[in-house]
Amino acid sequence: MQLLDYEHGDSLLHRISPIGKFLWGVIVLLWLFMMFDPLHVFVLGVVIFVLAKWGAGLPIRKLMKTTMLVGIASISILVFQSLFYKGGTKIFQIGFIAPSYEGFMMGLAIGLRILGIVASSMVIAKTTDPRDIFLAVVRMGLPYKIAYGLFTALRFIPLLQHDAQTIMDAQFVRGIAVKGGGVSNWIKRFGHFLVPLIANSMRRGDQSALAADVRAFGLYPTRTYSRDLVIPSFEKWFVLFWVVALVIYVLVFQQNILGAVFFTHPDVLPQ
Amino acid sequence: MTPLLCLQHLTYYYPQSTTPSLDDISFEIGPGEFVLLMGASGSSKTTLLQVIAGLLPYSVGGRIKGNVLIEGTDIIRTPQAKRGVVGLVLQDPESQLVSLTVEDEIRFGPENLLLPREEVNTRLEWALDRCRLTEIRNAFVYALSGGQKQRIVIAAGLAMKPRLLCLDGPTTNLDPMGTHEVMKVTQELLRDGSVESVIISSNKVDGLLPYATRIIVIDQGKVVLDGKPEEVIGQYVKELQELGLFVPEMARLFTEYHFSQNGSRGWLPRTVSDMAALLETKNLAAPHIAVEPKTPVISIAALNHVSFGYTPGKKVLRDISLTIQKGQFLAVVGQNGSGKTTLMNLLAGLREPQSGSILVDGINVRDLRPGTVGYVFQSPDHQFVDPTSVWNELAFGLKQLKYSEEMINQRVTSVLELFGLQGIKDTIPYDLSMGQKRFLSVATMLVLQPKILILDEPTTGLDARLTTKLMTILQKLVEEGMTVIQVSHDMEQIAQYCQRVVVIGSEGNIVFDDTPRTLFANQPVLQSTMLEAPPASRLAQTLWPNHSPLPITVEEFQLSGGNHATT
Repeated sequence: MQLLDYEHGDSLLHRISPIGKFLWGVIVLLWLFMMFDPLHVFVLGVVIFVLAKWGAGLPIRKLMKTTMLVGIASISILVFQSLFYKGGTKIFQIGFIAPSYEGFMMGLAIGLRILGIVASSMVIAKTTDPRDIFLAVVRMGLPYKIAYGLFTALRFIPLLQHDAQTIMDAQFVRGIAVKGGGVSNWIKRFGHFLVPLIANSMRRGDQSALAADVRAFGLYPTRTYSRDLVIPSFEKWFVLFWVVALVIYVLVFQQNILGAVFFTHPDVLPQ
Repeated sequence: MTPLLCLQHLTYYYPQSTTPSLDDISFEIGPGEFVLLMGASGSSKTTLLQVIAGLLPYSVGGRIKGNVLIEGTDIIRTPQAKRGVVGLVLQDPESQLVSLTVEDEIRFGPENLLLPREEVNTRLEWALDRCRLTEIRNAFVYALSGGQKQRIVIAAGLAMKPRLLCLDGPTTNLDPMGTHEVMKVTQELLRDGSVESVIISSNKVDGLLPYATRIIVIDQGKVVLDGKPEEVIGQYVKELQELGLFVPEMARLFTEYHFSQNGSRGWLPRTVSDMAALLETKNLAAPHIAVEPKTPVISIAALNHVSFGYTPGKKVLRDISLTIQKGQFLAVVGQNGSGKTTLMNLLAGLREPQSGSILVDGINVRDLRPGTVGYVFQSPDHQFVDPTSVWNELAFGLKQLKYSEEMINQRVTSVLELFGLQGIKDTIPYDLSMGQKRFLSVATMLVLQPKILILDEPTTGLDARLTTKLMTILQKLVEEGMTVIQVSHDMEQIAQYCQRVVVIGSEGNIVFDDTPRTLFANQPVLQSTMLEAPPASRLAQTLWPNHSPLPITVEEFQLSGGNHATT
């Protein structure tokens, strides 16, 4: 059972701290949401993949495989946007089906945007040691007791997955139909599923809290950290590079600063 | 000299409880003691250990009277004062692991104690070495085996450098090999002075007895026996059995042959070798064991060349072919992680084999009506779906299958009577005791009247009385024609109740399929699968190596020679 996607490594992105990668992720996210031209989104996606390959040492094929799983959802967005975009230029018409060019381009941009988010998230997940996330949030000022609580939640993900599967199995042998039956039956099934899941989670949570207590968790306001959070000197330049690149993009492609400098629009020509 | 632990008239009530869980308990524990804490299910063994470790009433509240002194300091009033002096390893290692890697898990406690980084790392190396975990120090904890996880939680407890180490049911979920690993490490720690004293609570103590220096028996929160193993087990076998406890097989035989009343007082055979040495001088004749005649076989299920894996390229089960007979009590055994539970999941139709077929009564198991193959999961809590009452929990499956109200009442009443649960039919399932939950989980399946009933470790955590009750019910069902299959590590129970045993090897294939008696005589299979015959069987093999068939249970052994009063 895979708990987290983290893979050991010593690449450029592996060496950047979670704080740096978090900032990079925010910049990429902002950038993706500023773009409406699918070609631009595609280019940024290519850059992310290049960074994943040469900056994080991740195999492109593996990255593509996971990204494409989400790609299926993106295709549905593309189709939906094409068909239901109000107004715009019809590409073709068969009966009531009349996809529009503008809708298609909008759908393509949104779909590619989702793929870009997934790809950048994967780059972060695969190059960030979860223990460094804990150290990073403590360094940012979160009390260590709360940070450890959140961190332990990660540890419980595979246990909850296991419990959920066992409960579904137990319900199957007790005659509960796992599929079908409409929305009302789904709600009922969900209720029957939640009761044992919550009961087990509470039991596990109690055990975990006792195990931490007996090992002096929370005894002092602070604790020893055997691991250091290393922030390399090049990290600020990496983040700065992306900030500058975003600013340039906005100025060039959205504020059309180059056009203003080198060309004058006919509307503003002196009469 | 101040004792390491001193309990003085300790009484404890859980919040909202009017009856004490611990009732006027007083004893001391000094250096070098290896204490076995025995008690029936619900006798408050875990509660006592949690009070000693300073977790109760600190973590959940409740009322407490008396004193708990650790190195002379009262930890009831100052629970944090002696943190780290007592180490406690709880029963379920899975829920105790709070970190991602083995190293982090072991460092966790010393880091909380604000020790300098050098000291944390020194303790880490020491604990890794003591518990033989160095090779997997960087592994993710969730990916390890049950035995390895148990050793990690012990190592994590040790890294606190406790003077008193308490282990609550440390071998409950382990196979014989895992049990040996844990006990060997614990014994080494005591011997080399890494810990001063050890308290281990357990339902079954056969494997622990060689190490014990003292036994404390509690019943309903009171200490009823306290002394050396020779005194407690050697002289109170009947009383222990009446309390619902498992008495080690060698001790049962020792008492049965009246050795304790004939000049051997103050001595107890702790191992099979001890008992064999005693009996070899008596020239006991091997008992005549009547081998059951083979009855005509009616097949109820057939697995044909079944293979299965959870991840591509990694098979958990390989080419399993098995015919299961009607009215048979079958055991499936193997090491932790060998694929026993997966095989049972396939037979219950919960997973689909990647190759091969599984037919029950000639029908593909995935096409069967729900309830045809019953499955009782290891944890009863997983099985409950209706939190309102025991009655509703039992009626639930029948309602799903659209049975009439009359039929539902009839069947629910019948299983309530079978398990003696009539008095608690309105109780919320989650409020039941461990034994009652186990019975209810079996009853939820039996109410559907399955043709095959599968039970995954059904007696884990149950004491002798509850185990006997459950097994007797299952045996009766087998006699009435139901096929019962249990996954188990308990060889004594298999010897006593099962007619057939299937052993799954480490490659996920069947390496043995015959009677328990044949298995226990097959040393190559036992060694390759790291299983162990029950003590009575090993004793018989030592005494009568050339005799066949040999006894495999204490009851069969007692037929030997009719020589009971010989000394």
